[in-house]
Amino acid sequence: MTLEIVFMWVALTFYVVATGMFVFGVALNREVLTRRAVLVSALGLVPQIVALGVRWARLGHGPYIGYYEVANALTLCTVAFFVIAAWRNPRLHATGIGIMPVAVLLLGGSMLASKADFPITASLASYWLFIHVAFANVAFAAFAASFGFAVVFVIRQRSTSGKWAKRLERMPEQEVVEGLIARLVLAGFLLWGIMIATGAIWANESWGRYWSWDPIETWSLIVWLIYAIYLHLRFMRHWKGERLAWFAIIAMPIALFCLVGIPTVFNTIHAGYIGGAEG
Amino acid sequence: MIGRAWRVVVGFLASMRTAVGLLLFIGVWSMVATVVTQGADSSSSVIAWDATNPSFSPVVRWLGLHQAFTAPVFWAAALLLAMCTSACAWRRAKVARFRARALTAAAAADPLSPIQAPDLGIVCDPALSGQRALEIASGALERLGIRMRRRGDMLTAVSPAWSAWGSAVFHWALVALIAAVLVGQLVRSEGMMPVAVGQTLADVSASYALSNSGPWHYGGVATRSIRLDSFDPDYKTGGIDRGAVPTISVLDGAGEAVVTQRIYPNHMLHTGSLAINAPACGLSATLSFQDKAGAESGRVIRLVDFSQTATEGTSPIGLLSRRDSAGRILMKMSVTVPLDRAGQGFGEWIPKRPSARLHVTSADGGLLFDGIVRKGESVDLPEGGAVRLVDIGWFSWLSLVDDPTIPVIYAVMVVALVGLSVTTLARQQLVLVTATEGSEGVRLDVALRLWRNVPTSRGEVERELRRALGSDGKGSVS
Repeated sequence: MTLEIVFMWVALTFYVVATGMFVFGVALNREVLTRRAVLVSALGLVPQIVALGVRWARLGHGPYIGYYEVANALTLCTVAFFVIAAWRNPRLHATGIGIMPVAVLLLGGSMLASKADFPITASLASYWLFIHVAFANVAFAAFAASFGFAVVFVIRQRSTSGKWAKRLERMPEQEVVEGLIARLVLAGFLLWGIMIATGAIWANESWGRYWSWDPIETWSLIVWLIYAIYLHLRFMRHWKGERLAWFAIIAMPIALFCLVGIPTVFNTIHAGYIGGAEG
Repeated sequence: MIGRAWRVVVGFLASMRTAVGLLLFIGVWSMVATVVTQGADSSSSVIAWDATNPSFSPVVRWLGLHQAFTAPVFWAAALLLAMCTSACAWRRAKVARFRARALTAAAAADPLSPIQAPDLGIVCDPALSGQRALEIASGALERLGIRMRRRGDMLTAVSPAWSAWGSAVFHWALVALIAAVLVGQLVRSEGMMPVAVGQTLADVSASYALSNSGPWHYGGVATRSIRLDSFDPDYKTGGIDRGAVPTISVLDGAGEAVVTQRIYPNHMLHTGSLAINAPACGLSATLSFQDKAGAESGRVIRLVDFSQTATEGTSPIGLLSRRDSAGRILMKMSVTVPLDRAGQGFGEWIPKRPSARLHVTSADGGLLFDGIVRKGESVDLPEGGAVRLVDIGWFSWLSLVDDPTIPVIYAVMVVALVGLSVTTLARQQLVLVTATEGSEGVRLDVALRLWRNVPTSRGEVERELRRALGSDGKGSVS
């Protein structure tokens, strides 16, 4: 086992512990646990960044190729996004109960996947790769955060006067959480849109077509349309409450499927980035 | 009557239900399209899909799902969505104008005058002075994420007027994007042109093996031509193997090179609205025809694609027909190049001993000749004369796309994303606070519009102000 993999297991351990602390912290109504869980999540970022940095230096490219690297980068962005949000607004600590399990599943899945080294191929050798993938990662982080906030919203909504409402009473009011979910979706929608636009420009530079209805292009558009529907329902139809939160909960796995599932299910010209084959 | 019908149509298009319904339809249609094999109804992959899915096949064919993104149903939905977006953009523009005016007026509000028609009126603790009440209100709002500025006797937090325009700009840019894509389909031309090393082909439809031009395409620059200067079958740069790389020149009408460039992935040739890519390559066989007297009557270049499933590793691209002076076909000739063996397959390079297999048939298909000719050798033709294999070389499949709308599409995308960034990041808030001292004590008047991206809510603001100003349980108007 290389040092890089050891660091990655350490990071995963931190995230698992943080997830447990969030669950127990909320369930036992111990704020100190949730506060420290944010710290443990932040500490987990350190070995993960080191491991990815070592790999980057060794391979000469960032975490863009192969399921292991892609899922790792998505996890890193998701946890970093959450830690920054929780650090800026301590009332949001408890949302880790919805976000950290996503990070654990993603990183755990990547640790079980092949960790083979994939070199940059001619079709991927472009500065657009970094830009395109960076926006995909940050967009997913925003969607994952909206998912976590929505989970907490639904838990509280279903127990307005019950135990869970009391356990989550330090959170901002439901109305504010609802607004935050919408803002996160809007941020993710913007970042996902930039990801699509940069991908279109890159495709035109690389293949001479800015759009070719490749499965991953089509699904990225589908994800964008799904979140566009969310935003229209929220801002134009003034939908509120649990049903809109469920919308955010259901939409995030579709975005995840688009990023890591499509290349393994469909025959796509993007297969290169997830499987290491020529893309 | 017409006016009523117009209102009904506009109402339908501007309806949020229509927009959401169309987004949903296009999303579901696209999902299904990724599951169904795409291609022409007669293509082998589509026929195979139909055979394995006999229960879905009739519906899929009836809906046109095998060509899902060119099907009339899809285009009708996309067009309707564009019209909906226009109607939505129009409404967004009206809202933006209203908000921008309100923000401009609030920014210019007289700090010494009381707020006209306040949204909240809070009676403060009698012990508080007006100035103290403003200080406390400022702190309370700041805790909720609204940073107040002091202007005379007024607290203000007013977003700039441009912050209101993000959504409208985004929607209008989407309309422009859809329009540009539609126009692009009409003016765009794309095709595959096979060019051998040293060969120069005019950019006209006859030079393309496959081409597809929109009805408004201007027909190409008839005087422009493409030349394949050289070919490197194994080009490396920047430590990366770029594969087989041709060097291409685009020539103007005078035959002068306008641009010369190596082409490989992520390094296309661009000149004006033309973009050239080189997705594949193959071999070329140069043949010299000789008349009965042994003089050269002409040369042709025949192209072959690599094919690991073909008997000798290559398959011919088209057939060569020889005709007599009356235009009757004398014979048909196909040319392949036998490749060297490499493991279980064939080596995709020029064979060490270059040769070509000539397969010659009569007009009615009868075999006249089938044999291998080595480089420099000749064989006699049944019609008289002979054919000599001059050389085996490389050719490139060039993908040429001529689309003048690309810069417009890029520009519109940028505008759309700028609009969306403003919508996402810029706050749309209008908060004005004044304190009026009267016989009942100090009364705080608040003009409050929290339209977008504000980290709190009207209810939270009211509760926090009442709590901070000690007016819990006291009457407040809102």
